[in-house]
Amino acid sequence: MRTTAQYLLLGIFLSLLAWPTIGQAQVKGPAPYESAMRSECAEEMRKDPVIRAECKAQWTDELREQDFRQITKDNKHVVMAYAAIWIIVMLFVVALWMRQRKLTAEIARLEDELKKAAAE
Amino acid sequence: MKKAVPLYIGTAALCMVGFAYTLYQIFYVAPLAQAPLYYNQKIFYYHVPCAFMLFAAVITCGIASIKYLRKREERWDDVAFAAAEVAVMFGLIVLVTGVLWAKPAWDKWWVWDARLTSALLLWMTMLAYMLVRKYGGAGAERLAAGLGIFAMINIPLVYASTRLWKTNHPSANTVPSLDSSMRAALWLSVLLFTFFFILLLRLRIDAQRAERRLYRCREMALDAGLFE
Repeated sequence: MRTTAQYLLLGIFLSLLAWPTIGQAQVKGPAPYESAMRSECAEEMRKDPVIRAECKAQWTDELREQDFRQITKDNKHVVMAYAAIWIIVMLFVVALWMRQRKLTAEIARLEDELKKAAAE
Repeated sequence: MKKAVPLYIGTAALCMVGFAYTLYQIFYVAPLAQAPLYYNQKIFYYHVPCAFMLFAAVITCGIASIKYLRKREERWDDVAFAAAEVAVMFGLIVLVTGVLWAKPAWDKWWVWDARLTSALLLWMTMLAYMLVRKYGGAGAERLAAGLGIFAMINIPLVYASTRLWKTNHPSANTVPSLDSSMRAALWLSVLLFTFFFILLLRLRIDAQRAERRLYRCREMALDAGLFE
């Protein structure tokens, strides 16, 4: 029968196994590129306030839409965090309960042996 | 122990109902945070209370260790060992939720800044405490007690790390600036985690003491020649 400490250590070991996956996920995206068209576009926007206003309006809507999606849909990390909390707590409580059960069984066994020894 | 059972059941029931209510407060009452965190800020409501409980457990372990080293009474050793185990559990929660919060906040799972590194070291110290207790052999209690005191001394450093060094981690000063319903959800979570921490600690201490008594009974029975 494992003790609470052993269950905790096992859980920590399993968490550490996930480390390479986390490291993999930290790979950075591509660097911003330079191109003639990009420079031309920036130059046009700088010169003409109308184009700038049009672009701004278009991008503002798009960014608002993106923000809305992020606010309402991006709950992946929250779900993972709350799931992790309850899993860790449950593992600890179950380990504690199993330890208690082991102790109760051991006490019962000792009592039986004492009764037998006293009878002899 | 038996007298305390209704109290334990009552506390467990209070925690269950209370945690359900905190989830309602967090997800339906507290408003969304500003950019860039938005919804992900909701991790904060359990991450911070668990960090407080980590500190509480380490301080309990440290004080019990000092008492044990001074008086050499086993009851203090039981408290220290139980608190260390609870500290490792809360520390694991803090680190895991911290990693999951860091990704949307900083676009990185982990950064080696002062707060994160010092918290990791604190947790590793408590892990070392448990390993010493498990595999240290004779006299491990005293060595582990030293580790417990060392961990407790580290706490002010972990807490003040956001002020002492330039870190990405938000400081404790951000709490008063939160919306009132956000603060209410946070302090309610802190209160419930405090009850939960006390419950776990008590149960773990009881198990530790029962184990010690059982071991002693077996030794006495052997000495008396009751068993072969």
